[in-house]
Amino acid sequence: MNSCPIAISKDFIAKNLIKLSLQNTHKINLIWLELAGCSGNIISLLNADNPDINYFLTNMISLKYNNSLMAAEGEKAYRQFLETLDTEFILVIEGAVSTKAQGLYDVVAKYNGQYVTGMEAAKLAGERAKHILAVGTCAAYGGISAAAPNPSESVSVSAFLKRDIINVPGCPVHPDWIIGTIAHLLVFGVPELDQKNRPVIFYSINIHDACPRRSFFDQRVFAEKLGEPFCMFKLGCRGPVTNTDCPIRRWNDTDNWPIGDNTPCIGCAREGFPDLMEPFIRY
Amino acid sequence: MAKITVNPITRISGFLEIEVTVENNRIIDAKSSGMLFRGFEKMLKGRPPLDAVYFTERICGICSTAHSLAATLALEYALDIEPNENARMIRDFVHGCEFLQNHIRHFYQYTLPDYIKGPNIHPLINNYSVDLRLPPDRNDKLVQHYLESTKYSRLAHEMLAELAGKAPHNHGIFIGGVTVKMDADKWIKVRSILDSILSFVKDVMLEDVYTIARYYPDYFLNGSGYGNLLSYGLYNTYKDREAFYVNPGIFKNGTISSFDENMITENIKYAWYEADQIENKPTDEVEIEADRYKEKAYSWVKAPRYNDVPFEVGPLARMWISGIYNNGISTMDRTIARVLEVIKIAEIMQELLKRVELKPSGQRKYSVPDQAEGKGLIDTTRGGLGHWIDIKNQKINHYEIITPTSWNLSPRDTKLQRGPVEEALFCAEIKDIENPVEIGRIVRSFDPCVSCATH
Amino acid sequence: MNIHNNNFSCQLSHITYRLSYYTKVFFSTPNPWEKMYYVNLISNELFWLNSLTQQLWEYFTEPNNTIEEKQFTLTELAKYTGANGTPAYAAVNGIVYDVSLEETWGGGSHFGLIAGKDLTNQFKSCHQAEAILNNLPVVGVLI
Repeated sequence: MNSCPIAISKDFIAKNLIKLSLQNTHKINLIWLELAGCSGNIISLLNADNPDINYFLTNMISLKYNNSLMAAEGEKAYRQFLETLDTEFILVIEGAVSTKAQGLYDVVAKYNGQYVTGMEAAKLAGERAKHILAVGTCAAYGGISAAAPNPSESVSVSAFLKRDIINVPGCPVHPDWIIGTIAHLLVFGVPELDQKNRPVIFYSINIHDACPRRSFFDQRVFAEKLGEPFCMFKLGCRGPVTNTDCPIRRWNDTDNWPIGDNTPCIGCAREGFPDLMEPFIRY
Repeated sequence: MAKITVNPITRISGFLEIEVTVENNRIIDAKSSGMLFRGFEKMLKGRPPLDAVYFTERICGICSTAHSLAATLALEYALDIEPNENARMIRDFVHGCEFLQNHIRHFYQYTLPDYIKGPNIHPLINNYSVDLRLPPDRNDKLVQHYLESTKYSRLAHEMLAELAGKAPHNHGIFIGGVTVKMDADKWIKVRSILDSILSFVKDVMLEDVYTIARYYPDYFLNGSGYGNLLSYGLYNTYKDREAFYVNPGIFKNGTISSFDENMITENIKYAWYEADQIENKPTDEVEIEADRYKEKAYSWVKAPRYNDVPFEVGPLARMWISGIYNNGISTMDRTIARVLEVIKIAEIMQELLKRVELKPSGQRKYSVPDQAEGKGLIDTTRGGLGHWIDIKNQKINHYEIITPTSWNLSPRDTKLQRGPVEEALFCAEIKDIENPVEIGRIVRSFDPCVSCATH
Repeated sequence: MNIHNNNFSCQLSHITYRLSYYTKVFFSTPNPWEKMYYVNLISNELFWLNSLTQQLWEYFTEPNNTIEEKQFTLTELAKYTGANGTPAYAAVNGIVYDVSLEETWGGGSHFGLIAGKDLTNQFKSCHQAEAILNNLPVVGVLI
C-alpha cells in the first residue's frame, strides 16, 4: 500500500501522525468518571473532530467506564469500573467532588445494595490511577458546582485527592485540550505543566495578549454594549486574567469564540470562576 | 416478589436510580430517584441579575442553550425588553441547533444501544443485553449509522457556535436577542450544515427508528403512563404556518385545552428538602433547605404538578398537542416522535434562515431596575422549561427553575400520585428478572436529564 | 493637555522605541535608498518629539498649573464605579487610584470587588508588595 502521508488530504495528516506514533503502543485503559457537574465535558469531547470520538475510542485509548456512553447499566456497569481498577489506567474526572452528607449529594452507583458516592469512586480510582486528569473547571478548581454558598460543599479533585493531577480547566473543556493532553500522555509522557498543573501547550497564552481585538484596547476603543466589534474590557472582559489558547484555537471547528461573538470573556477556565469572575457583564 | 434496582441508569445526562418491585413478571411499584444535587437556586441568590444567562446554562451540559434562553426570557420580562424580530429569529435558530444536537445524540448514542448490539468498541458494545432482535445485517447497518451520526450531532453544535460563540455554554443568546451580526458568510455556512443534517435525518435516522419499531412492536404497548401531556409552546411567535410549531397547551382525558401557568406548583413531600410549605408556586419566596436524611423522601427531584396532576413533557407532548403525531403514547411513540421532531425543527430552521436579514444585533445598554419580577417559559429539547426571577435592590432575590425532567422524573406528591416515569413503568412486563432491559428502554424514551432536574 | 495622563508617557516611550529601531536599521542596511527612507522616518519622529516637548513646556509655564491633588470623600468616590462610562477609581491607604484601564479591572470589577470604594483591607489581604500601586495613575486623596 502506498501511504505517503502528504498525498492524503491535509485533514488527515494529524490523524495519521498520531496513528504512526501510536501503532506500537498498547492501548491503555481509561475511566471517565462524571461527578458533581453538568456532564458538559463529555458532550464537548463528542464535539471533537480530527481526531473525533470514534477515532479516540478506537485508536487512542480503551474506554472502560463512562456513564454517558457505555452500553451496560446498573451493577454491570459499575462492575466494569471495579474491574478496571486492577489494571493500568488513566482516570479522567469531570465535575467537582461533593462532600456534603458523606458524599450523598452525588451518588454514582449502587453496588451490592450500597450507595457508591462520587467521593468514594474518586478515592477508589484516584489511589490506583496511573495519571489523573481533572477535566473542566469544576474538577480543576471547584467551578460552578462550588459557587457560593456552595450548598453541596464541592471541592476540586486536587483538593480532595491530594496527589499529582493534571488540570485541564474550561467550562466546558475544549475537546482539543483534553484529547491533546491524553495524546501527549500516551506518546510523549506527562506534558510540561505550569504552576497550576495545567499543560503549558494549551494554557500559557493570556487571552488579552493574543486577542484579535487587542489593538482596540491599545487605542482605547471600547464597546459600550454587547454586539459591538470593539474591545469589551469596559463591559467586564476577563481575558486579561485568563490563560487559554481560545483566541487562536477558537471553538467547535468554527472561527468563532465568545469574544468573536461580540461578548466578553467570562474567565470560565480560570480559578475562582464563577464567584471571582462576576459580574460577567457590567454596562 | 422481587426488588430490582438499576443505578446508574447509564446513557442519560446525570445520575438516576430506578427501583422497581416485580411480581409475576409485572412491575407493581416503581420509584425514580435523581441522585445529584448542586443547589443552583441558592447560588443565584444575591448575584447580578444579568449574570443569570451565563450562570444558569451551566446547570446542564447537554441542553445549556435551553437554560440560557429561558433565563433570557425571564430577564426580558423583568426588564420589559422586546427583542427585534430579526434577532428573535436568529435566537430561535440557535435554539433549534440544540434540538438537533440533542435528539441525534439521544437517539443514536443513548437509545440505540438498548435495541442493537452496539459498535465493536469498548464500552459501546453491549455484551450483556438480551432480547436483541435485529438480524446481523440490519444490526451492522445501524451500528454504521451510530458511528456516522457523531458527525452530524457535532455539526449541529458547529452551527450553534458559528452564531453563538461556543457550545456547550454559548455566549450569543442574551437579553435583547443575540449578539452576533449575521453576515453572508455565517448564513451560508449554517445553511449548508443544516441541509446536510436534514438529509441525514430524512434518509438515515428516520429509516433507523422505523427499523427499531418494526422489530420491537411490543414497545408500542408499554410505557404509556398517564397520557397527560403538557407544552409551554415552541416557535409560536410566528404567524406563517411554515415557521410555526406548537402553542402552549395541555392534553388530558382525550382533549386539548389551554395552558395557564398559574396552575403550576412544586411538591416536596417525597424529595430531600424541607420548607414551611410542602407545596409551592414558583413565585413563592419560600426558603427550601436540602435535607438528605429526610424520612420517606427518595429523590433530589421535586414534584411539579399542573392543577395537582402530574404531566408528561417532551417531543411527544409537542407533536401531539400540535396535531402532527397522534399514533399513540408509549415507549416507542416517544422515540419516533423525537425523530420526527428533528425533521420538523430543521424545516422550521430553514424557514427562519430564509427570513433572516443581514443586520447588526440590535443590542442596547440595559439597566437593571431596583425591583422587578420576570418569568420565562418555553419548550426546549426535553419539554417545558420555566425560569422565574425576582429582583430586589438590583440583585437576584429569588430564582426558581422547573425543568422538563423535573416533570417527567418527579417523585410522588402529597396525594401519592406517581411521577410520569414511575407511572410509565407501573404494570410494565419484565420478561427476565435477571436482565430487566425493559426498565432502561422505558426510562430512556423520556430522555431524562438529571443534572437539569435536580440542579 | 493633562500630564497625569498615561497617554503622555505612552507616546514618549513609543517615540523612543521607534527611534532606536530606525537607527538600528539605518546602520545595518547597505542599501542607500533604504537609508534615505529611514532618515526620513527618523526626522518625522524628531518632529513629534519636539512638539511633545513644546506642549510640556507650555504646560509648566502656565502660572495656574501646579500639580494639585483632588480630594475625595467616600460618597464622591462612590460615583466612580466604572459603570455607565464613568471612570473606575479605588482607594488604598488614603490614595485614590484610577483603575479604569488596569487590565485586571475589566468593567470596573476585580475578582469580585467593584470600583468606587476604599479597598485598603482587601488590597492588604491579597497583595504582599505595595509596588504594584506605583504603576497606577493617582487621581487624588481620600479624606
